[in-house]
Amino acid sequence: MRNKLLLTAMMLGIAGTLAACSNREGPDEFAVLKNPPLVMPPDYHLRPPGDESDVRGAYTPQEIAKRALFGSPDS
Amino acid sequence: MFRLGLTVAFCALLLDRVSKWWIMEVVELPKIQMVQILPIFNLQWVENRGVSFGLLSADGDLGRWALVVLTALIAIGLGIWLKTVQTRLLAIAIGLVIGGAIGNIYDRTVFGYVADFLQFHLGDWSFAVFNVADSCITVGALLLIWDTFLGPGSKKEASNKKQSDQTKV
Repeated sequence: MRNKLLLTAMMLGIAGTLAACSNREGPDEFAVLKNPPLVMPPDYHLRPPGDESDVRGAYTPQEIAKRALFGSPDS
Repeated sequence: MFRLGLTVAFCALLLDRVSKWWIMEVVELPKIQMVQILPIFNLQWVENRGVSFGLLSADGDLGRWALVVLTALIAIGLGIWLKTVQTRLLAIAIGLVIGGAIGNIYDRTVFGYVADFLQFHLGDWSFAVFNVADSCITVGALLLIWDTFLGPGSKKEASNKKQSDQTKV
């Protein structure tokens, strides 16, 4: 009997390893707000205006969502 | 029996491949993500990089190939077992598991993830999203367990045990 239980457990383990079903996860409640990476500026001079206008200032999810829906404010 | 097992494995693999091809190329589920078929049944696209229930999620190439090797070894082991098998039920069961395993290994090797798309749910509660290969593996494993407890081999063992108990008394 013990052998059978062992065999059953092994079978389940093997089946569990071979199968690949997924739990459909909802929104990830542990997701962390993604900030742009911290980098050294390429040079310390003023940069010409107009660059990166679609991401500039969009650091919060609300702001990112707003821009995704309605476009960036100055365009 | 070995040939029967191989045939079953091949059929399972074929079914799995055809279903995944149909889902990816004809339905184009990766693009549309989800289709509701019945109130309790959806086609829901999930890319699984781990094993069952999304456990052991292997991000990165190392984990992916480790899983491929591990599952391939298990499949080979099952193949060796299949060679020694005498009964029809066992051959079919092992064939199902091997076929499903190869189906998932194929996905992992070619795409880097296993395509899951069958989802049964009751309201918000959802059973794990699975595919045809998973079903084959599950059915095969259940048949194996069935055979362990209720198959012809187990009865012989039980009667042997009874006899030895009687002789002891």
